[in-house]
Amino acid sequence: MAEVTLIILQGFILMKKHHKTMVITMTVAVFVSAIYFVILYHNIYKIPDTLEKEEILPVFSVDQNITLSFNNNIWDNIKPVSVRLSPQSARTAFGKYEKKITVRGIYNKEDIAFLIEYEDATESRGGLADPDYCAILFVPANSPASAQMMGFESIGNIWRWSALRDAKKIAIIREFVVHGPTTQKPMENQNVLGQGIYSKGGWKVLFIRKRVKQQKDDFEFMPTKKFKIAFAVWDGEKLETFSRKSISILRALTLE
Amino acid sequence: MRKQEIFAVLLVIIFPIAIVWGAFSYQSSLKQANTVQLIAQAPEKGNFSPQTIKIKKGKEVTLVIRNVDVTSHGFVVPLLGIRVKEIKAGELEKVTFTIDEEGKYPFYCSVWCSDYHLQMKGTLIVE
Amino acid sequence: MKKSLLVLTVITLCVSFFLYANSANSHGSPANAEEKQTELGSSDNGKDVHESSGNGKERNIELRAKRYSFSPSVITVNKGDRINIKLISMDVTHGFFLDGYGTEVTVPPGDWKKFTIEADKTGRFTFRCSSTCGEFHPYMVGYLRVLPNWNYYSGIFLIVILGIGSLILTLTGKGSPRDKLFWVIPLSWRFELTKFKLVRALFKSRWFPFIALLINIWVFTIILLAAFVGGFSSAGNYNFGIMMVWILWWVLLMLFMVPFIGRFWCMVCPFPLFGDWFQRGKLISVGRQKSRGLNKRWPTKGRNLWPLVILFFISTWFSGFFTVRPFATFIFLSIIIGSATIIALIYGKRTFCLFVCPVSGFQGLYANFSACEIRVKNPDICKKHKPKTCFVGNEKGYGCPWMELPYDMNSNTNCGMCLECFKTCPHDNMAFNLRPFGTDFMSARNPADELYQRRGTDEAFKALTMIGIFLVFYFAFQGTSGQFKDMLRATTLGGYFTYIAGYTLVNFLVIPAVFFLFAFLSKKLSGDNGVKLKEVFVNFSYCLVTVGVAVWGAFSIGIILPNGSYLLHIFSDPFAWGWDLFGTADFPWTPFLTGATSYLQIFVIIIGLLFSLEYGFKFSLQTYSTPAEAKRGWIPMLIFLIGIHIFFIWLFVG
Repeated sequence: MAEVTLIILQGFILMKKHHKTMVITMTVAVFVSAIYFVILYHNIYKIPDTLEKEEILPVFSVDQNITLSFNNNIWDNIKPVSVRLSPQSARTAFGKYEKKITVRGIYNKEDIAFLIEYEDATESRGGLADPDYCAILFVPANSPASAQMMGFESIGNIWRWSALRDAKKIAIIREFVVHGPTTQKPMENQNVLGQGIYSKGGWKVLFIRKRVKQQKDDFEFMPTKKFKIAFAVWDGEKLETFSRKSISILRALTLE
Repeated sequence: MRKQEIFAVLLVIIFPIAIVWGAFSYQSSLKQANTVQLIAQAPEKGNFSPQTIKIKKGKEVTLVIRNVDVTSHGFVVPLLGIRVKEIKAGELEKVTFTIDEEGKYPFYCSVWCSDYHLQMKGTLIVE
Repeated sequence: MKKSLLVLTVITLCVSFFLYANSANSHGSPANAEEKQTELGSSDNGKDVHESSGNGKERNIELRAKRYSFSPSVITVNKGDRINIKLISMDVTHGFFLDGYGTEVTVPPGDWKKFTIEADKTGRFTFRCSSTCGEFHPYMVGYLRVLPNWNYYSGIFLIVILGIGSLILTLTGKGSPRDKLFWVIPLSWRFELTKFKLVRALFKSRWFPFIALLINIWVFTIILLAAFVGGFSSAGNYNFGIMMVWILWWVLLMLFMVPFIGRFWCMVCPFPLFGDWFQRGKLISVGRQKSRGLNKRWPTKGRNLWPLVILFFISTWFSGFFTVRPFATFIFLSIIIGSATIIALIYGKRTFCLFVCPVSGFQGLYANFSACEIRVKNPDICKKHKPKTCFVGNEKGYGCPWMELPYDMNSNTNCGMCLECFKTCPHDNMAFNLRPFGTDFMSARNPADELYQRRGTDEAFKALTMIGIFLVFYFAFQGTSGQFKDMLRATTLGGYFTYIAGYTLVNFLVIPAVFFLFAFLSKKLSGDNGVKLKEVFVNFSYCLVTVGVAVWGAFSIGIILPNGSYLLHIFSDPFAWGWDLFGTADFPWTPFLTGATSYLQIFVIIIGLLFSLEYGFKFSLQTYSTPAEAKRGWIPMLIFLIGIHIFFIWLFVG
């Protein structure tokens, strides 16, 4: 075994032999490599300023109870946030390129709720065309940027409102856990309530859920937990389903 | 041998310089009048560059969009209905148009190109 | 003659078996891609296996594509199965191209496409991403294995048969004689190319190889310019710099130049030009013999391959960067050119080429295998010739810039084929010969011999680390693990440093230790107590030279066939500026003959095996005192060689 150590060490001994040139060459080599690496790493992985600062979606605290009604004035004083949506895959020319939706978010001790309003030329509830859908995606705030795609490389919660189920008044909003495209699985318990109404050429959709954690994969909306939120809209008239939809950027959600 | 030496030196010095100079001048000769160069990169690598393009109203303009990135990009000006088909990595597309109305028209990338794709935009200013 | 007939019969049998096994494949219909977008994306979870009509099963696979791997990355089915693939893109646009079948599908981000493949050809086929999705796009691959994998089995069968056959022949004393290659080719056979007047005139002209160097300078100007304007993140496959250096040059080097014409690249390499020019004061005519500048001598302790072993190894730490990012290549090339020039200012002659240039190490060692050499024709003339102008120079040329003694040269390791000795020899006594592969391995081993050639642990470690580096390059550029590629590309610092640490350990500890074990077994089994273990270790490590030549060649095949078509694009549009100089800028990505990749790779590996078996036993005879000991000592080494070749076959086609 002494022979083993001897031969393997022989290589290192030869290198460590105190000779100025060898030491200098190796030091220079390692130094140059380190600089090279730093230059590469910095240039490849830095996020430049051209990236927008995160927009924030504030969710405001209210005192009253939150109900499924559109008629109460609980939403009147809440400032709407305008969110821009663009097509996920604009190869197939569908729909209007840009959509704008307005979002309002409120919470009280028990519940959290979102009101989404947007223009839609037709009220599609199934039938010949596909139904309209509207959905919200939540991901933890520390998720990587790839989570933009349905929580890929992280975990996400999706609340999806369907105009067809809305008409049937059954399971109007479905709750899913996602880990990326096509990975959606319905949650064990469906805890999100809501409804939508079509008026004046557009939809108003309401989502309400308890803030506490109620099952394994769902999220808890407490001040200590930070989330990001994104929205998606399908225009059934244009046969938009699955990946053919318009989505928004992930933005930070804050409980004001 | 002296003549040959001088000749060799010239070849070593002049040709590389000529190549570099030739490349750049050929490139600028390709730029015709009324063309605007737009570089498309993912937002985390620089976004559209320049971010704002100014053109004159009523004048025909050719936009040359070059994709210097590693994923496909697109180009669409929704308010004007201008769209360019998918620009693959390393390639370019041209689009020619004339706009008669002044205003600010945002343009976007129409092909999902990165996690930050939705931030890929710029503004076309017509005056 | 009888022995060669025997060998020929064995080989024919193996080849026929091989061909028969593969003819069992029906060459079915090509591209069977039906794109179906279903209206319901309801879960086809994972692999469902149902019985289907026909002779195979239906297999449903959800194939997720993300940068830069597929999940699952290896799909194994049986011949006759019908594979229904739902290709899902998890981030940006990806594609799917299957070697050997030609299926091609593209899938938009977050979307899916369904298509079907009839698995009617057996073997291992690589599927790759067909839509540029990022800088590592050309290396985003997965494997489809259609069993039974006859190529793989035949490859292993061939290796085992050849190994056992070779063992039987050597043990019974019927092995290839010491002075012959494969029983028939005399190791002393030479064919002198410079006997042709035109060739000799060319070699004696001061314009040769200068003219080739000049062309290289111009090409490298374009390469450097393209790499410079390419920035850090433009597509490497559309960049002249990246394509020419890491695809074209690297493949030509590993597949043709080094195995056949040795250090030919050093003949035409433009990097030392500025250093030479400064040292000599003249570009093409003959100036100072003694180098200008400090003209120091590289220290004796460093006059071996160790600096090169380490420098080349360190440069491969960045393979995840410079092979795909143009500006990273620009910096890398600039560092090399810069060091070449700076070293030339401090040290004399081609010190850089001999002891610092990363490429020099393996070129020098592998050139021992090549089929070309530069040697004196008639040593007697040199004995009477004073002064030795090939070493000191004269008005016709410089003394050997590689600091070799041309009149005394007996190996290719340090000859950079600069052809100065052709110009300075007044008796035209230098010759450029074609020769059998690998004759340098047999250069005299006895220090007392006239043509003694030193062997040392530095060269052993060069041969060993080249294998380790090959493994890492294989996993990085032809392997399926996305996680490994992420570590290599430093997506996280922790991952990168883990990779570097593991890589260094494997190269300098694990692989040498394994080889050392077999060397130890060899010595023990031989019963020769007089031989030093170090000598056994070092002598047998030269088997790894032929192995290295073969596996790097096989690797190059896997690089050039899928990606070679990008070359047509970059010739027309070198800087990705939208040019179309030759009309080929729109040439689409076209994998070339990728269905044949497995066959070609097996072929190259088998050739490597044959040479390493052939020379390996000759090394054994050189190492041990008696033929009996040599035979016994050979057995562990043969087992080692068989083992690693089976491993390589598994790696490439299993």
